[in-house]
Amino acid sequence: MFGLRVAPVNRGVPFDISVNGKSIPAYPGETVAGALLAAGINIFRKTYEGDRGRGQFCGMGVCYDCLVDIDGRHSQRACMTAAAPGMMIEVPAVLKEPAE
Amino acid sequence: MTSRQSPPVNADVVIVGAGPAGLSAAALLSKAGVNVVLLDENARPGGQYYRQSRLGGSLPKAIIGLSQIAGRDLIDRIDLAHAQICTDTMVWGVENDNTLLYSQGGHAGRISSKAIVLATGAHERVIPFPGWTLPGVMTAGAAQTLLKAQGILPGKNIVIAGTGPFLYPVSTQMAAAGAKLEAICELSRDRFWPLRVQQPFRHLHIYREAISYLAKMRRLGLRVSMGTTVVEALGDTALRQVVVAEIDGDHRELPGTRRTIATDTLLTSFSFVPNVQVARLLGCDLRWDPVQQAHFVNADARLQTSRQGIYLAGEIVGIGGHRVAKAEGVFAAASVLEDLGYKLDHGTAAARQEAWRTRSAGRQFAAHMLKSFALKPGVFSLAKPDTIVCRCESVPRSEIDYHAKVWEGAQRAVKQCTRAGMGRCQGRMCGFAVAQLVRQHSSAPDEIPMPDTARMPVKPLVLSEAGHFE
Ligand SMILES: Cc1cc2nc3c(=O)[nH]c(=O)nc-3n(C[C@H](O)[C@H](O)[C@H](O)COP(=O)(O)OP(=O)(O)OC[C@H]3O[C@@H](n4cnc5c(N)ncnc54)[C@H](O)[C@@H]3O)c2cc1C
Ligand code: FES
Repeated sequence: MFGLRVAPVNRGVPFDISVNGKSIPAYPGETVAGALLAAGINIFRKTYEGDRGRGQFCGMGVCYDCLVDIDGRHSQRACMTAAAPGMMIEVPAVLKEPAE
Repeated sequence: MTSRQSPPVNADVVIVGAGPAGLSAAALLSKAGVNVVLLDENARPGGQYYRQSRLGGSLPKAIIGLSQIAGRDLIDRIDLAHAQICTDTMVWGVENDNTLLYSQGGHAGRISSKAIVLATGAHERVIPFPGWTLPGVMTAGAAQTLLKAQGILPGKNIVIAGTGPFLYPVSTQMAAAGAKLEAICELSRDRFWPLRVQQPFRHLHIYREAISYLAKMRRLGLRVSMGTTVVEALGDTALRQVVVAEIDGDHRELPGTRRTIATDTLLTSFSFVPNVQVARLLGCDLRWDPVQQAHFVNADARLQTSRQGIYLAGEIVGIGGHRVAKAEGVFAAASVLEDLGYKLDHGTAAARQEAWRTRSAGRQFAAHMLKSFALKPGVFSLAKPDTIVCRCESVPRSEIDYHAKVWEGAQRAVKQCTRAGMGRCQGRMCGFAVAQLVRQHSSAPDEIPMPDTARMPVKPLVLSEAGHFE
């Protein structure tokens, strides 16, 4: 697979974070949004009125469209939060997808 | 990785924003022995242009160019014996003329100083079109930030649409990193705008930079489609296809020119909007910019605002690019030094003079550039009646049009009735488009709109942050 972590750069040792109970890898320094996007997840929140998906949009903490729940704290900006080992992330949009 | 420092309660000078402007101000002030504290919401100093890697290593120059290295050099010029760089620190309020309120890691704090330099920069301006809320559509800056800070691409197949010279670094960086660029759409049809600037000899370095981008684009096989833009993004749950079309001189879609491109990522870039909220809270006077159709903060010839002891540098003065921002940081810092009673030594006085030259030339070029890429009213007809304009509150264009008609273009009334611009982003994203749509129904559309009122907190806080002061 053509991964999205493209640049040849010293990324250090990856660790796991949990996304709706499933493990995905993250590298030290990555944001939650970065780790999600690299794992192929680009739908983060759902709008309350139409259940439509939203993802990272501004990527710099302005738009509040990248909101996910992190370690029990609701509506955190995935693009501004550094991933940490063992972090438990609930991505509202992924929850509602039918099991494969 | 550097450890996060908490700000002290007092400093001689507080600088808000650690981009080119804030960093160069901090370098000059700390070297002069003044106690400075630099506050920035990001995890790393650098701002937009100098954005640093968040990873263990730096990104290769072949992908992201020289900006990260230049940023590193400037950060290293800050004398840490007199300066403290506090990252992950968001300024969200003010207590009085010289006390700012911030939050860092879930805790709130206050910091007082004799002078404040505001260098809060800008974020991207967005234009609504059908499907622009789909995951997979993001700003070009989001993609650039992801690549520069984390070495991650937003997707494999990328369409870029927008206007202005920023399309060039973004597209070359994405392509150099291995993305396939399906199309690069520029609204303007004018390829020769740089040649019409007055006093071209003042801008030779910009021509050199432009030529190097063009050469890079040729090497990467990239072509810009002039006079085209995105008219629709399609997909059931996320982006699958982008529809692009040719546009006329008024930036309206030309019928019969649509073309559909399969892609997973669309990046848009329609110039920048300044972050003026903290300056507003401090009561600084604003300046209406008719070309950008936005309020910037007003500065005098010494880069002091209408409030004594509060200075400015960089994009919040006017969109000017990284050279201008860096030069203004030097200039504003020299003004602060003088006003704190320091006598400028020979080197500092010379640096100030040099900075002023760079700044005036840069601002002259930027004014010409911004005029050359000014949006025409037709661009707002990309949004159809059911297109969401306000992303936070999911307000469609039809509702904004309806209330704008009823209230005859009264901005505030329309916002209150529709909640457009009143969600979490506080109008930073849609504010520009909403204002432009509403004024089409005004009897005096050219009247300068009232700036939005600034409210605390300038960005949403977790409740515990506002309650718990250190
Ligand atoms: C996505 C993007 C890409 C750009 N690319 C280029 C380019 O390639 N070439 C070019 O010449 N120009 C570019 N620009 C324009 C660019 O903004 C400037 O050239 C340069 O970075 C401006 O420097 P600055 O110091 O004024 O602001 P910025 O670099 O924007 O820095 C401002 C800093 O202030 C911080 N900040 C803002 N508000 C707060 C707050 N309330 N609390 C704490 N911190 C705060 C921000 O986090 C940011 O780090 C780009 C702009 C954007 C938005
Ligand atoms: S993507 Fe805009 S706030 Fe995170």
